[in-house]
Amino acid sequence: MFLHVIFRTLQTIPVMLAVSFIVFIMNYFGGGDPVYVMLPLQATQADIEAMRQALGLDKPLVVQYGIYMTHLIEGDMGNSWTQGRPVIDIILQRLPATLELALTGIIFSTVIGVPLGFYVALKPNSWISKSSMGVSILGMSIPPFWLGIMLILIFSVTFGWLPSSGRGETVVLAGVHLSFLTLDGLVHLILPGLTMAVFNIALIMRLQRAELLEQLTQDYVKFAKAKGVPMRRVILRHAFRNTLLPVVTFISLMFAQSLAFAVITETIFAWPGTGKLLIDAIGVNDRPVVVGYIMLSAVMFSLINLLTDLTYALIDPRVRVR
Amino acid sequence: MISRLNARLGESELWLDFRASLSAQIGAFIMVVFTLGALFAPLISPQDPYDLTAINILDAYQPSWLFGEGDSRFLLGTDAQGRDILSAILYGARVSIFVGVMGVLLAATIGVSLGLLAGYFGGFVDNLIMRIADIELSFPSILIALFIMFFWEPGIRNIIVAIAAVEWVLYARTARASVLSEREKDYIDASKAIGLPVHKILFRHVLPNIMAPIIVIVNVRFAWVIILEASLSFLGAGVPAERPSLGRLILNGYEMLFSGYWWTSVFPGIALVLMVFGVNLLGDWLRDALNPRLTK
Repeated sequence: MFLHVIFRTLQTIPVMLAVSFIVFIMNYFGGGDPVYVMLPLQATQADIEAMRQALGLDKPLVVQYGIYMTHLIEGDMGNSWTQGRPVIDIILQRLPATLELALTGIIFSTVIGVPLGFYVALKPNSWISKSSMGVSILGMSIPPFWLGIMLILIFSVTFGWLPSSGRGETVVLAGVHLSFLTLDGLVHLILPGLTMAVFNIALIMRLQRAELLEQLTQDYVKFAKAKGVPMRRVILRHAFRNTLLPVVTFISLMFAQSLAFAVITETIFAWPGTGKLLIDAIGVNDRPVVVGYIMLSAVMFSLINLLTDLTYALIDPRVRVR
Repeated sequence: MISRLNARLGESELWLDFRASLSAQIGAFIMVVFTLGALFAPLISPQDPYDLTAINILDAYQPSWLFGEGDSRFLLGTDAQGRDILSAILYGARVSIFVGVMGVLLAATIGVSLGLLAGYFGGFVDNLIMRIADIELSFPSILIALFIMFFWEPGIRNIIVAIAAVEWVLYARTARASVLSEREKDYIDASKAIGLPVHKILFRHVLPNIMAPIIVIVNVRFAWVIILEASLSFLGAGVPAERPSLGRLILNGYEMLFSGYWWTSVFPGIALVLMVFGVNLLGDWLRDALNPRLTK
């Protein structure tokens, strides 16, 4: 097990290195010349050259990459071109909002999806099951951004029941702004959370159903029934437990994906998270923020994948490195 | 025509399966309707909404004739520039389907080829390709696509490339897994024994045998790619503003949402949902129909 942890952790390093290199290359060759963005129109050629030297953009590619990586290890991603503040501060400040949103979405998805999948697997002929399966295909067909807009249209514009933008009131806990601790904040979480959840509810429901059905065809279920174990116990204590592993793994990976896909929901609901930050930065061509965000995403994503894999290996010994 | 089709395909198990499944037929019907609508968009739409001479800003903000008191020329209303929404949907569907088909084809071509190579040759080639695949999979696809579009200008060709760059991995993995199991089979030995060159073995013998899961994936991912393109366009990083796109239409509608002009968001969205729904219905059926448990 220990060996597996080491192996797996080491595997993430080349991944992050590769991502940083690709990001850097695209940064270097793509987009506009940063110097022209930062200087006013009247800048002379001498000014441009001076700026270029000051930013270190006249050095060879490899050297620039080296400098970039050295700074990166220290956690310095440069300063935002539009806000002037360090990129890492800006991103970390907005991260809790996105984490809240992603977490809310996952909670909705799990709380609705898992029991529903469970039910559909056990009672496939009830009207609830049939309509759920049909609706799930529909759920997978609705683009999340359009769903958000429709939710706003129905609940905010037409009925005025729920707010359509922002986080509402926040409470500061250990320097971090949290909105789920206030009633107003919770109300603001409902629509964006739902928007993020619907697509995933369909996926989780189908996964849970498929996994449970597969477990019920296994030999141990037949043996348990033959032994006289009541069905309820067989299903809940044995079959369902075995479905937890793939389902929980899927949920945690979905959480990682949600952190990225929050971009869309945050744009619609003006949610002050990292996703909105990215879109705004793309809009004004604020390259350090965009690049910094991608790097941080790579780290977060790799970490979550790593933790998920390790937890999986912890529970299922068959997966470990021999 | 259906009966002639039936006569030709009549014996085929797949066709019989299709005829038995109402949801598959509905899905196929929806897809055919949209494809025809998109294909003949210039002929059947009342207006070319992206021809600047055909639209009139004085027509802007007209509500739908079907649901409100609008002009009878505009069945689904107009947007802020006076574009007829119905026409815009037809043209937008065109772009969605085109980008979807091209994106998936490109991704499948690259992915399956790489997967075949990786599975068949193994060793270094396999390792290299799978490492790259792992790196890419460890990253949320929408960020990769956004990132690519950020560094290039918006454009249909760029979106297709961005989509292919994100999607190829699934095809590669699936193809590779299939090849690994086909590799041990006798017909491969026989082909090698008679001296067939590698590319013939791979593309004329192995490939047809692994197509079943690939086709299912193509269908499922096609649905997703349509949503991806619309999402990117909605964020402003997809199709450029002067080209039609359902995502961008919805964006325009979103900006007008609070003024009560709901039709610019609602109708393109419904079109999008219907399209993807059709593809998903068909894909669901296809996955069961092509399931190897029926053939093995």
